[in-house]
Amino acid sequence: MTRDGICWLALAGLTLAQLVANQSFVRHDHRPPAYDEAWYLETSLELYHSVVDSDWPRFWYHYKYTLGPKAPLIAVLPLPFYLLFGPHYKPALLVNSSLLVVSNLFLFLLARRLYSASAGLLAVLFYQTMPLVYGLSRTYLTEYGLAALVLTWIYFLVDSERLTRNGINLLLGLLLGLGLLVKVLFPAFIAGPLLVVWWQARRSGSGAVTALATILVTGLVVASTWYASNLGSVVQFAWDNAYGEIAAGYGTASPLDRAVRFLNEGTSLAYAVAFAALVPLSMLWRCRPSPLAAQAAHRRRLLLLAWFLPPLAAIAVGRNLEIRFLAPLLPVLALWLAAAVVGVAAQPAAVAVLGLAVAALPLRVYAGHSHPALASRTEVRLGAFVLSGPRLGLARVPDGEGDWGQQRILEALERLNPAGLTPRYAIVGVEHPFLNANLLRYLNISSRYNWRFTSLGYAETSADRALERLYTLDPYFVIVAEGFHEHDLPPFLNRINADIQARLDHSELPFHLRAKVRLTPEVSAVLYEREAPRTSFAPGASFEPPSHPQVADFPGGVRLLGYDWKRRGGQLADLSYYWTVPRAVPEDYRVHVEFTRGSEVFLRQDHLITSGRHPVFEWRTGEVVKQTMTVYAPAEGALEARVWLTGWSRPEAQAPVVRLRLDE
Amino acid sequence: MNGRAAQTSSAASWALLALVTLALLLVARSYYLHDRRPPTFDDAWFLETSLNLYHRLTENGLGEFVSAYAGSFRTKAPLISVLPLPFYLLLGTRPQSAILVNLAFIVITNIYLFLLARRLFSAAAGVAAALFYQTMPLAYGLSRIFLADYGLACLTVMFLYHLVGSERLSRTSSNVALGVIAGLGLLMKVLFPLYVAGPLLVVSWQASRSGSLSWRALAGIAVPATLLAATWYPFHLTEVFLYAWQAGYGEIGGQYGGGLAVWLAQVVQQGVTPYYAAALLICGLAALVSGQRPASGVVWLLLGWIVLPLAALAAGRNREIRFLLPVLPALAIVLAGLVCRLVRRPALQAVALAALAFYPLRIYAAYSFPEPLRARLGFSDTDLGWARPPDQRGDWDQRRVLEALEHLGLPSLRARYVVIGAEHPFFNANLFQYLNAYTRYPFVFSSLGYAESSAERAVERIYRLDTRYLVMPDGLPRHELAPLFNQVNDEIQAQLDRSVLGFHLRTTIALTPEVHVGIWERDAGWEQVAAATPTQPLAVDFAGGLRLLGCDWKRRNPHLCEFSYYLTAPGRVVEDYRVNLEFRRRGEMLAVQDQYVTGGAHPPFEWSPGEIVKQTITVWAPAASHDPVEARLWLTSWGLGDPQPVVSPVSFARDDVVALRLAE
Repeated sequence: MTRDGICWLALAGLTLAQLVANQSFVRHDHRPPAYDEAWYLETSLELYHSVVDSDWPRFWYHYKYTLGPKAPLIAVLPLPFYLLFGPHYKPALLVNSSLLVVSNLFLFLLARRLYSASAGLLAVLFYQTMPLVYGLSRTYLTEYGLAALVLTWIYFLVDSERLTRNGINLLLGLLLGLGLLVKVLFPAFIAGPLLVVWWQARRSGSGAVTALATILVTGLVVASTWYASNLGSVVQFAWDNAYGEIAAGYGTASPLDRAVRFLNEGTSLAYAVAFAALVPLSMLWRCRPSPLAAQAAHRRRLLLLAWFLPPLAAIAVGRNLEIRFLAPLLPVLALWLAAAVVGVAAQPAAVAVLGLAVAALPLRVYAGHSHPALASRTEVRLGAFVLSGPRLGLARVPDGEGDWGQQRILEALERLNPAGLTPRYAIVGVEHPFLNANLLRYLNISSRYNWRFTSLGYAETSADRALERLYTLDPYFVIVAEGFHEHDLPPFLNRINADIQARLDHSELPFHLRAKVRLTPEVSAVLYEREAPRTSFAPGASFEPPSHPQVADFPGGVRLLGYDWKRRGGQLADLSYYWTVPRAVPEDYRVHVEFTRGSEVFLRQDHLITSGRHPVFEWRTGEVVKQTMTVYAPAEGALEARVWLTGWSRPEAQAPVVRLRLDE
Repeated sequence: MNGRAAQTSSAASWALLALVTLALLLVARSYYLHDRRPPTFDDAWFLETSLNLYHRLTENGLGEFVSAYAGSFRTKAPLISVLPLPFYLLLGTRPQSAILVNLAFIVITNIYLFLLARRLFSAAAGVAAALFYQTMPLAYGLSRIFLADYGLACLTVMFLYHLVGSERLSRTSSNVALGVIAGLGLLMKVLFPLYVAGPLLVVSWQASRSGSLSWRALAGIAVPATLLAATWYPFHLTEVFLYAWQAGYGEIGGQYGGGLAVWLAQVVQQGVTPYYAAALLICGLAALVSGQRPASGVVWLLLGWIVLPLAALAAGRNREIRFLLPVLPALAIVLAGLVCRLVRRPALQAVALAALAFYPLRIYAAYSFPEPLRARLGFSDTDLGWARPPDQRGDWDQRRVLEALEHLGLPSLRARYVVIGAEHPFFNANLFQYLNAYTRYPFVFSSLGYAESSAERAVERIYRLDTRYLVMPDGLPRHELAPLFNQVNDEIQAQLDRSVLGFHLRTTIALTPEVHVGIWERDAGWEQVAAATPTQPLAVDFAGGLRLLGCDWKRRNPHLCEFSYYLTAPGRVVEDYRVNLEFRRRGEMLAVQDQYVTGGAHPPFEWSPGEIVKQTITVWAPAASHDPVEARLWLTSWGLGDPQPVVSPVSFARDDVVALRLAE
C-alpha cells in the first residue's frame, strides 16, 4: 500500500474513532440543551413540524423569522435526521457527526494539497483534539458547522486553480451562501484568502472578475432566502454582539486573559507549546528550497495568513469574550503545527512518533472528556494555564447531572390550566443551565403543547421593566425556582429574580402560588398561576348584578348576563363575566375574546368557562357563574372586547360575536 | 397503414386517452368535493393506519416506521396504508391527500390498460378498454373509496402488461418488473396471485413449449416478489391465510353470503352494467359466428385472467362483488377487442365504440354528480352497489364526541378503551378510531364485538377491555343499522339504563336533531372520608408527602371487583400525583390503569393536612378463579417519570412500588 493509501486508511480510522468518542459522550451526558442550543433545536422542531404537517407557509415563516437575528441553516440541517431517526436531541447531534466527517475530509485534502498526506493526517488529529473543536462538536451550536464550511470553502478555493474552474467557482458561491446561512460572520473567515487568490488570479491574467461575480452572485442568491428579510437586524445584532452591549454582557477581560483563555480552552496548552517550539524549529531546519518550491511556499503562507490574521484581529479588538468565534481559525494552527512536525521529523516513522508525542496530552484529555470512566476530576494547572481538567470551556466530562424531568413542568401546566387555541405565555423567572425559558420552549415544542416560555428579559436589570413586558404578554403562569445556590446562577442573567419573588410573596402581582414541581430533592420549580377567581351562585340565589348588564344567548344554550370592568391599578384591569344556563347544556364551552383599541387587536385570549374546573355540562339550570380575568390594558383610547364561544363542535359553527364596551 | 399514418393514429390515441383520463380525474375531484360521507369500516381502518404509520415515521424515524409497518393489520396486507405517505408529506394529512392515491391509480390503470389492449388488439381498442373499464359501476365505485381493490386491479393490469411484454418470459427486465409488481400486489392483497396465476401459467406453458422458460426467468420473478412480500408476510403468515380462507370459504365469508344466482345478477347489475354484459355476449357470439376470433394465445391469456378468479370466487361463500374488480379490465379488453375485430373501418370503429360507451357514460354521470341528476336521467336505484352519487348526509361533526371524551376527565397515560355501541355507516368504532388518528387522544375505539349476538359476551368484552367510556347513539334509523352488526345494542342500552353495568351517564350530545349520543363513564368515584377504615390497613409514606392508608377489595358482580384505596396528606403536599395500578392473577395481567388522584378533581396540593380521600375503581376479575389478585401501585409526580420513592416503611422501598395481595 502506498503512503497516501495508508494515510487515507488512517484518516478513516481516526474519523471513526472520533465518531465513536462523540457517541460515547452523547450517551453519557445527561445535560439538557440550554440557551442558544435549545433555541436552535426548538426552531428545528418548528421547521420539522411544518414539514410533516405540510404547512409550507409556516415553514417559510419559521425559516425567516423564528431565530430572529441568527441565520437559520443550523435549524434546517437536522430535518433529514429527524425523518430518519425521529425528532429528538440525539438525532440532531448527528448533524455534527456529518460535519466531523466533512471537516476531516477537507482538512486532510487541503493539508495534502498544501503540504503532504502525513501533514493532512496530523492536522486532522490536532484539530479534532483541540478542546474548543471537540467541545463544539458535542453541542448544537453554529460554530462547528461554520468551521467545517470555512475549511471546505478554502479547499475548493485552492482547488479552483486561481478561480479558473467555473464549476468550482459556482460551488464556492453555493458554499458562500450556505456559510452565510450558518453565520453572518462567514465572510470574515474567507475574505482574506479570497482576496489573495483573486489578486493572484488577476496577476496571472485569468478571468478573475467573472469568477468573483459568479461566486458573489450565487452566494448572495442563496443567502437572500433569509437575509432579504433580516439584513438590518442581523448586522445590528452582529455588531452589538461583537463590539456593543451584548458583548459587554459576557464580561470584560484584558487581552492577556483572553489569550490565556484561548490557549487553555481553545487550542490546549500542549499544542500551543508544541507550536511555539516546532514551528520556528521547522523553519530553521528546512533546507534551501528550489525557486519553484519557494514560490509555492510563499503563496501557501499568504493564503494561510490571510485566513488567520484578519478575523483574529477583528475578534481581538471586539469586546466579546466568547472564544468559540475563533473555531474557524483553528484549522490553520493545526495545519501549521502538522507541517512543522513533518518538517522537523522528515522520516515517516519519526513523523508518527513526534506527531503522537505532540498529541499525547490533548488525546488523554480528549479521552477523559469522552467517557466518564476515563475522566479526571482534578484540574492540573501551571499558573494561569490549565493542562487538563474536567472542564476546558465547552469541552467537558460527560455530565450525569441535568436530567431533572423538566418535562414535568409542562405536564403540571397542562394539568393546572391547559393551554387553549391561542398560545399562552409562562414567564420563567430563572436562568440556569438546567432550568431556563429556552429549555422549556424546546421541551414544549417536542410535546407540541401550546405554551410560550420567555424569561424576565435578556439580562434584565429592572423589575418594573420586566413586569411591564410580562403583562403585555398576558401570561398565565410565572415559574420561579427555589433551592438554587447563588453561585449556581449566572449573575447577569438573574439580576431581578429576587425582586420578582419578593413581589410575588407580597401578593403585589396578580398571581398566586398554585403548585410546585420537585426537580431534585433541593430544587423545585414553583408555579404561580394568574388569578382568575370564579364564584358560583345556586339557581335562585341572590348576587350582585353585573355593572354592565348585557344579555346575550349563544348557540348551545349558554347565556351571558353581563360583565364588570374594573381598573385594578397600573395598567391592569379585571373583566368579570356573568354566565348562566337557562336549560341543561350538554357541552363545555371555550370563551374567545379579542380586546381591541380602535381597529387594533391588542390581546387575544381563549379559555374554558371556569377554566374547565366546573364544566358547563355540570351546571344546574339557572346557576350563575361569575368569572374574573385580569387583562393588561393601558388606559388609552376606547376599549372593546369581542366575545364568542366554541363548544366541542367546529369553531366556525359558533357565531355570533358579542361586543363589550370596556369603560369604567 | 404507412409509418406516418401509424404515427398520427398513435398520437391521436394517446391524446384521446389523455382526454379520457383527465375527464375521469375531474369527475373524481368533483365527487370528492360533493361527497360528505365520512370514511367508515374498512376504509376508515386503512386511513387510520396510514395516519398512524405517518406519525410513526415523522415522530420516531424510519426504524419505528418499519416496525409499525411490519406489525400492521395482521390480517390484511399493508401497502394501501403506506401509499398515502408521500401525499401526506407533500400536502398534509387531510383525507383528500390519501384519496390522491386512487387518482394516481386511475392514471396508471388507464395507461397500462391502453398499452395492454394496444398490444393485444389495437390502439383504438386500448382507448376503448380504458373507457369501458372506468365506466363500469364497480370500477368507479371503488375508485372513490379508500380500499385496496382498486389498486389491486391496477397492479393486476400492470402485471398482465409486463407478462405480455416479457415475450414468453424471455426478457429479464420484464421478469424483474413482474416480480416487483407481484410483490407489491401481494402487499396490496393476499388474493393477488389468484388474478395473475392463470395468465402466468398460460405464458409459462407457452414459454415451455417454445423452449424459452428457464429457472433464471422464474427466479427473476420470484426473488423480487419474495423480497418485497417478506417485508410483511413472515410476521403474519398464519393469520393472513387463515383470515383469507375464512373470508372466502369460512364463517366470515358466510356472513357476506347469498345465492350464486343473486351474486351473478349483482355482478352484471352493479359490476359491469347489463349493457356491457349484453354487448359482450353479442359481440362474443358475433365473433364466433364470423370467425373473427383473436389469436389463440390472446384467448388463452384472457381466459386465464377471467376464468380462474371467477371460478374461485363463485365456489366460495363470500358474495362481495368487489373481489371481482381485477377481472373487469379483462372484460373491458375483450369487449373493446371484439368490437375492433368485428368493425374494421376506423371511422365506423370509432362510432361503434363511442356508441357502446354512451349508455354506461350516462349511468356514470348519474352516479358521479349530486342528487338531482340521477333522478333527472331516469335512474331509480339510489346506488349501484359500490357506485353511488355524492352523499350530502353523514357529516355530523362526529369529532365532537372525541372532544367531549377528552374534556370529560383528565387523560390517562395509557390509552383507554371507548366502546361504540352501534355500527352505522356514519357512526362506528372504525370511524372514531380514524378521527382519533388526527386528534391523537389517548383512546382506543372498539365495537361491542364483531357481529356479536350475545349481550353477555359483549358485557364481558366491555369489562375485559377495561373500557372507560361507552358511547351509545340513540335515534339512528333502524333500516340504516345492519342487523348482523347491531344485534346486542338494545340489550346493552337497557342494562345501562338499569345501572347494572357500572357506568353512569356523563353527557349527551345532539349530532342531528334526531340522533343523540349518550356518553357513559365507568364508575370511579372518590370521596373525602373522616376516617380511613380499609380492610387491608397500611401506612406507606411516599417522598412527596402522600400516605397510603390501605385498600379494600370487594366483588361487585361476577365479572367486576371494586378496588378502593385511601390516601392522606399528613403535611402540606405541593404536587399532583398520578396513581399507576397493575392487577395480575397468576401472572396474567387483568388491568393496567393510571389516573390522577381524585381524577384531578381535588388535587393533593389543595388538600388540608390530615384530609383523607378514598378512591374507588372497578377492575375486571372474573369470579371463576379462586386465585388471589395481585396489585402493584406506584405514584408519579405530575404523571411522568420514575415512581415516587417510598420513604417508609423500608420494606416497601424496593422499586418504590407497593405490592398488594387482594383476596375477597
